[in-house]
Amino acid sequence: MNITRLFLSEAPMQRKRWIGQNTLAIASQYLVMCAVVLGTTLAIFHFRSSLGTLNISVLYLFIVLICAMIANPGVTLFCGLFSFLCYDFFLVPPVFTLQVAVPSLLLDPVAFLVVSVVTCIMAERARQRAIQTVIYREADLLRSTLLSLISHNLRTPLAIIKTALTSVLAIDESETESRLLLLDANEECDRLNRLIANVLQLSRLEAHAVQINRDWHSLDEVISVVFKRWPEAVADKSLTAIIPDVLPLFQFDFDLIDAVLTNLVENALRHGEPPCKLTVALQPAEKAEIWIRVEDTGSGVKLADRGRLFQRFATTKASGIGLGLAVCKGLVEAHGGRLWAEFEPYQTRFIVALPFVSYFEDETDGASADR
Amino acid sequence: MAHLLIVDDEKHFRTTLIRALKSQGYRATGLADADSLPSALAIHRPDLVLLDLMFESGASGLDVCRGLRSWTSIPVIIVSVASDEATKIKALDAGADDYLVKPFSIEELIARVKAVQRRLARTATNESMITVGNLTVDFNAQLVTMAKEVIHLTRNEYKLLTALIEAEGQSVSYSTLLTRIYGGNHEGRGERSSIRILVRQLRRKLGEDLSNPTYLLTESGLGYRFNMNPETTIQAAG
Repeated sequence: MNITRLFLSEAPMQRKRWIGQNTLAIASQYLVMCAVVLGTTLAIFHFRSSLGTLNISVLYLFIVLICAMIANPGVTLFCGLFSFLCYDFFLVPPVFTLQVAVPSLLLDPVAFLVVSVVTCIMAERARQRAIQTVIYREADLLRSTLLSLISHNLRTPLAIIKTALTSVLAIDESETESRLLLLDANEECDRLNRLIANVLQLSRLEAHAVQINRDWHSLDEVISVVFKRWPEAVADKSLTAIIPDVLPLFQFDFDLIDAVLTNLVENALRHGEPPCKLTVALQPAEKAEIWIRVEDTGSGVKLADRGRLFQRFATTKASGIGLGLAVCKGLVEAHGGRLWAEFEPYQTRFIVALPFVSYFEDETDGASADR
Repeated sequence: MAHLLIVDDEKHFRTTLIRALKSQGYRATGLADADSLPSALAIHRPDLVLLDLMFESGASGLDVCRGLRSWTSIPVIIVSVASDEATKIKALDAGADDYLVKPFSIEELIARVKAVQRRLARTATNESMITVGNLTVDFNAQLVTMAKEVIHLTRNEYKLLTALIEAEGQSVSYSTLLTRIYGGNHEGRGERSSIRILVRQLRRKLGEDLSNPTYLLTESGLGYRFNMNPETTIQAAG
């Protein structure tokens, strides 16, 4: 993974170099600033007789503001303080002391001080924001690197295991214990692959990086793709679907709804007691929504677990880390839909409600499609 | 038996896949470097190429496939961990014959390889009638029967069915289907929905179980595939 190498090796070095350059730059800023303030003060002190009553203190204000624009916040703050002291010491009578004869004369130097403090605070805030942006950008880079690492580096060994297992299974057609063990391993291989998909989806959800590719699809096609993952359960009728005859195309993201239904079906098949009868029923509840119910006849969900069912890492079983339902909820909501659960004794029902906009009003007669 | 060239820079994947294919009676050769594919084709003379999409060297399987298409029609099946629709479409547009997402079962791979081989063999013979399970299509009479009962299809439904059957179980992309059915250059997503509606009408007429179709299979992101062995179901990975 080239990105990882780039990110891990070069970034800290760049940061170190940046800090080194920065210390030197700030030190020179302090020196230049001191020279400018002192120079200005001495010039004003020298020409004070010819200047008369002209208010020259505004010059310091310019210096502080210019300083705030180009220099470090610390330098600006010091600039304000230094200007205040110089002005007081050289220009406010009695001169060459920090004492003040008339307190109202202090109004000008206090202005430098206030301006420098305010600009300093503002600059500091901007700097924090900039740092935060950099941190977010780095975190995003790390996240996307991690995502591609997960999908590539975890799936490649999984692909090797799957190839090896299925080719042994294809040769050996007996019904021995060892074959059953291999079938178990193959099944878990698929489950691990789905888990990796869930981890990827969850990190995308957390980064708000889920892309919704809506297109006109028919829901029965998604269901057929989901059902292909459990051919045995479909064959022995422990996984069935009721699809209404009239079901128009509507806009949704095929892959995301595939992921949602796969998770819900897997959940029902794993946590339901065998035989686990499962029904996917599509019913336009209102005009604007389409509902997909995923029901199982398992032992139900304990009262204590119901509230946190959709939380990350919440699981009703000792095994598993309970990513599936959190991912489902996130994906459905990213899709503008709703997902909730209904509980009855010995039955748990998950309902996916998706926003529904029909493609053709009279699609069933086929006239509009079959030109 | 067919000779497959596996182009993948993951050494362990290559060796396992070669072993698995050999156990199924195929000849297989591995190649780590996509750049030397042209010379490898000349040396090994494979019947089919299995090509990965991402190489550590930075080479892209898509570019390799495109380059290959400029001078040879050798069948290419893309084998990648990428499962998103955009990548699949790009792969087919680059001239790949089919696409398989890793991890996959060896049966899935062999089904695709056989589909490609069948298609190549068929264009040579050009049969006038085909029977798959209970379904019979007479190309001359343009007659479709299911369990000896005639099914009345519209012109476009018939075009869709024959386009899928002629691919002999190979995935057929939306753009290919659109061109076959409506002619001309059909790009854009809006047009795809008309294919989806046609598919559902055809499935209904064939008496398919919509949640578990026997003949017309959906290949998510790719298009559709006709199941040439309706008796055996092939389990899809994850």
